Amino acid sequence: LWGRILGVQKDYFIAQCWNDDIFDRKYFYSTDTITWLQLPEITEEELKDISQIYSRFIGDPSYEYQLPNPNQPQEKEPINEEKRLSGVIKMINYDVEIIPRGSYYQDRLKKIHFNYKFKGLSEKEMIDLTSYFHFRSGFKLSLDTIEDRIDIDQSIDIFDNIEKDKPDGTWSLQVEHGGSTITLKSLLWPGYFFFHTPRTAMRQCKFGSMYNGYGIKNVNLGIML
Amino acid sequence: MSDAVNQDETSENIGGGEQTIAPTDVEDNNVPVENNEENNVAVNEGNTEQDGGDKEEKSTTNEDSNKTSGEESGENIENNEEKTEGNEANNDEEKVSEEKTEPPPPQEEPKPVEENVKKITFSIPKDCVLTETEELLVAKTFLMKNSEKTNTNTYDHMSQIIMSILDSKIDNAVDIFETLSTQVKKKKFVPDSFNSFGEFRYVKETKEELEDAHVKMELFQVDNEDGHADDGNEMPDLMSISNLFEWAGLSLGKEETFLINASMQRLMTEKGLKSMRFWGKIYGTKKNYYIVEADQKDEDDDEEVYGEDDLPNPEEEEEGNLDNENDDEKEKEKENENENDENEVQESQIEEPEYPVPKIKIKKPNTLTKEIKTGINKYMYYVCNYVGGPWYKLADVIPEKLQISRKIRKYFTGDLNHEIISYPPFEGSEAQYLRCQIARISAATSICPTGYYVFDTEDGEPEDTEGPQPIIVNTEFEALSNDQLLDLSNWVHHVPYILPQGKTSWENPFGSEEDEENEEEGSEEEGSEEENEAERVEPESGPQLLTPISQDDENDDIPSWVSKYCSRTLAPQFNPVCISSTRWPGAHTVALSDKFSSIYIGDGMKCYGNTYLSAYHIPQPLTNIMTEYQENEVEKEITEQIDPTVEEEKAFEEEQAEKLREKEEDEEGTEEEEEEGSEED
Repeated sequence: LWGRILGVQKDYFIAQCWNDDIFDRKYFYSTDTITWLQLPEITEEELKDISQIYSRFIGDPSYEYQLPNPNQPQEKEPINEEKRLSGVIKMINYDVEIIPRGSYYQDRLKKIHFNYKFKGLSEKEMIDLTSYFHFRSGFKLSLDTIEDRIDIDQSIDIFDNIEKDKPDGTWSLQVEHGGSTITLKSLLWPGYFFFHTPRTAMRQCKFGSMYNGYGIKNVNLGIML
Repeated sequence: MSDAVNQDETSENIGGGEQTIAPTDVEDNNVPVENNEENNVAVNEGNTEQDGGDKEEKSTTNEDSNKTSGEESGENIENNEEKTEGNEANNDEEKVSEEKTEPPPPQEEPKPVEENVKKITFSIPKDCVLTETEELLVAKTFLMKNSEKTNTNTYDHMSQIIMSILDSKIDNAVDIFETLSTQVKKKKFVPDSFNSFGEFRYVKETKEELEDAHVKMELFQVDNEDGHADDGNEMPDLMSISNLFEWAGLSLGKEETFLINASMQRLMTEKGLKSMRFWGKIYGTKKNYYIVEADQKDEDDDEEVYGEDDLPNPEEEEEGNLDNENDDEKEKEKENENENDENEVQESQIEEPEYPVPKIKIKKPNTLTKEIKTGINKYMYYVCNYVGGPWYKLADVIPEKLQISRKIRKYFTGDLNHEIISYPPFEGSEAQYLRCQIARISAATSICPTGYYVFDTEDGEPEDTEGPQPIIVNTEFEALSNDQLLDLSNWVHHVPYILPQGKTSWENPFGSEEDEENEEEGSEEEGSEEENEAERVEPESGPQLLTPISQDDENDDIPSWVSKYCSRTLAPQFNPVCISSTRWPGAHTVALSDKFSSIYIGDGMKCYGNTYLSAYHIPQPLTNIMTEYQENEVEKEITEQIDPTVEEEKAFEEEQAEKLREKEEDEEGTEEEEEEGSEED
């Protein structure tokens, strides 16, 4: 379950599935968790249009949106809610999906695997934002100073660090339950949160994330901080 | 990979010896150049005194010493260290050093070295990101990182061991390598020093989880024997209410809800509150707020209140440039008579400027009085940061602050004393901002089924009361059926609307007359507070209490309230109804036949509309900067003239003097002339 997008009349539950290539994922949505429909793929242009829409999701998949700046002639189809769902999910994934450092590793063929032996982050690492990465492709290892480099391990440092996210403070990290769990909330897409419980003698290491929100990007983030 | 190095060595006549084997072999290789090595190691030793801070320097001195003693030995040492590093360092480092081939002689070295610089060719993977030398530096710096406990690092320790081995020329050092290592460490051990391994140090380990458990345990130590059911305390049954909320998907989790319940009970007994209700949870960036709304039994003013503002007196602000009339008017509106008197005295002392100062003609509005115990401040609010934590009381709402809070949009951080820096300047702490938001949310989203509350008609006629009409619970309330609850017109607001002024009852900021409250529905009129005459200020009004929520303004094109059944499959009579506000996302009311309850879970921000424009928070535009004086073309009030030059002045003066002389000559010598003449001088 990827998450839930709240609409005015109805909510959407979104399920995510993937095969070998983890970056190629398919999404299904449902309003009642019983019937699931696949979300369409969208193009780049449509993505741009979608990022202009800031109204709430209505809850009706065929609802069509009026775009604010219809500069282009109306050859393209108007954006309907299904497409907007798809676009929003893409944007959210690109912007905020995160994983702890070490949970995925890269082998020699540059293929990314899930690390089954991942035991979780240590106490110190948990509260440090540098231990979390964006889960997206297109990463270049940045080697600025030697001090940076001594900590880099090429097999697990394969993604963008969230520490560099602008603006500062767009991630809210909170420790719950007396230090046993960490939640990271994104302020850019309010409703996205990530949790992590490192493994101790008594429990398993868990981490996960999901989106539960309105599907609207927070553009006022700069002034709100 | 060792082949390459072997080639190197044999070609440079060091001797055979596989590099992969233990240090002893290397030792043998190194014996002929022992002196130089010791030099190297000594240099290293010398450098270990430093804190490993100048890593670059170290590596360069290493390189330098390598230069002097010859590349081979330098290389050997490096290799040596590399190998032993490989043993002791992380697996990662090993991989790093193993995946790449042997490091070549440092290529950044300047070229005066005369020995054969063998360019060793390796098969560097094409997409290798770092060069070999850099890898080496990386490895080195990693080893030079000091351990926290003992303030030493691997690199130094290794070099010390090697030096001790070489000093003592132990055979088979590899077999007793570990003992040698401990010996070296022992020499460094200083008992009872602050950083030593804590054999003798008493460490009190307080894990966070333990502390948290302590806090929660206290919650459970409630003395239930003393509490009686009819103590006058109205404590909500949070567990059954939270059941309702779970249907709507709004729960905080059973564990958390239970702990909150226990914490609220404790708060109630501690502070002696008459009734309370769990208002909700507001997320902050660092910590969250759990908020409880409470009604106090008696006047209890001596507890610490957060966000209490020392209201700045307008007189102090305005630097004594006022009309006296203003002073008189303000007297009426003062909250504290004492302060007033003091200020008058101060006023008279401050006055008496030396030069006539223009008096300000614009009347500044007075500070609005806070509503105490009624209207917007009817309830007290307590917040805590985490379940089981201490409860902080929030100060009452100050109307001006509420006006400003409408214009800013800031996240809460979780720290009540955090200063809100914004434009327009809020000039208050987070506690005040939080209280304003709570007030706004409550006023906008507290709803109840029709008929639950009725107007209290016993206390006089409605027109005379200053505040909103009091409402009381209707004892004859009949529960509406669930179907009816779904209909939005059956729900009404039961908390008074907050006027743009920031209060629920109108107060004229200029205080000339007591205006009667206008309770008509519909149009709101903004008080024009910058008029010069108070009579022109019009009272503000808002929707009356107990208006159905279906008449609320729409949020652009979506309705401001949405109601739906919580479950798809349950029969209507058992199906809780959830009413959500779109204007304040996160505000929900859940009802099931005769039970209903509201809660807010969210980040405390209003949603202004549904269009793409409204998503962008447009801050108040900055005030106009002062423009330069514009000359009116029609009436030349000011004309510029060029100052006369010195020559012109002199010429002018001479002219005058001549004229006078002529006059004098004209007239016959009289006393006046002489007087004139003397005056002229």
